[in-house]
Amino acid sequence: MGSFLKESWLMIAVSVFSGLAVAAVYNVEKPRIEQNARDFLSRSVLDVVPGGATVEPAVLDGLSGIHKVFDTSHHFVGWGVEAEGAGFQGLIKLVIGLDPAAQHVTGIQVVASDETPGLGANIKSDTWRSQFGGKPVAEPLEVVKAAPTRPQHIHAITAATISSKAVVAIVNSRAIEVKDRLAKEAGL
Amino acid sequence: MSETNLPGAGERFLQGILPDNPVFRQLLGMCPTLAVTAGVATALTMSAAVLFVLVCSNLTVSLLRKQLVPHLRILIYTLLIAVYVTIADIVLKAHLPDLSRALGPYIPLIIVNCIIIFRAEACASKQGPLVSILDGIGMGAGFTLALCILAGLRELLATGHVFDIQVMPKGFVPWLAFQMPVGAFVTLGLILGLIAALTRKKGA
Repeated sequence: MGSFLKESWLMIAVSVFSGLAVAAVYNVEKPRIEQNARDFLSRSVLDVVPGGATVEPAVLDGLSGIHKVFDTSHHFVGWGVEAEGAGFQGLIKLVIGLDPAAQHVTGIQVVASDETPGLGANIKSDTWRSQFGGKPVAEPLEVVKAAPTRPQHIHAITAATISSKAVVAIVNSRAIEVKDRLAKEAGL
Repeated sequence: MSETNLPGAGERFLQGILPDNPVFRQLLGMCPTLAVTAGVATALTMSAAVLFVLVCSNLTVSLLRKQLVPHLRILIYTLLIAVYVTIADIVLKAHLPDLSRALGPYIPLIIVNCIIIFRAEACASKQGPLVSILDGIGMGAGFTLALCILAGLRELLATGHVFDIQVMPKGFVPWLAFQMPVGAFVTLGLILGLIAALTRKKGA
């Protein structure tokens, strides 16, 4: 025991001080880090629901990652829905905006993605994302390579069909899910 | 080894910047060098974090150097480095959330950056606090310089601008490959080749 302490007292002391230092810094910065995460999310949610001013987390029949969006006079104007799925190179995280009845998509925002710069990364571009505004939820969206002819068509990004399809698949599955839960809740 | 045989403070400081540049001459810490140099903003944030960790770990190791037990010293270095990196990561998350998000796992990965543990072993565990701090600043500055050169070139070629300031003429076609990992390897290789050619000793 004596030789153990003689050799390792410094290690023990450094460990204790290290733990204290990290805990202290974390405690000081924790509120700010949590606030940053909330700000980032509400920024993305407000981006996809036009006319939105405030965001409140909501629970829809056990479905999480859902936020209610209100305008300045506190009218309910839509849903902001967090969604994620596999992309071409990694996880794609989206926020999908839906109108109050979850009948139409109001917009999408890419929160995190790891797609190829110059190709798949164009899923983040305003022009490509703007296609989603006003799309009906009832029928699944489809990726087309030619000019879109039907309302549920989404024009693929040239040379990035996999990324385009990935985003559309995430939107399809998540939007239907919210719509169904909403219909179920209304029916009860 | 006695302290008198080791380089002094001024020499330690200058060594790190060019003659012994951690990236260009020692080829240490290649992971952040290649991964975060797609843009100057991320490269600068990374460099600042590395500089902070280098100086702090060098200072602490230097103050503890007389107490270090040989077979436990690496454990102590690693622990100290991990603490400073975690602190840097927490502070970045709190005050520069966008850059912290862009850097992702690469800030926590400074823990395994061999530049830092190497300086602890090569300099701080043998020399006093002042020399160690200057050594940390010198090596950190060298690292910053290397990352900025790489990131500046890559951002310029991939987007035509640096820091959102348009540099290239209007007709410039962005060279997107330079934003991808291949661009990092090609740029680093060319710079290393250039430096080797410029500093080649005659007849060697």
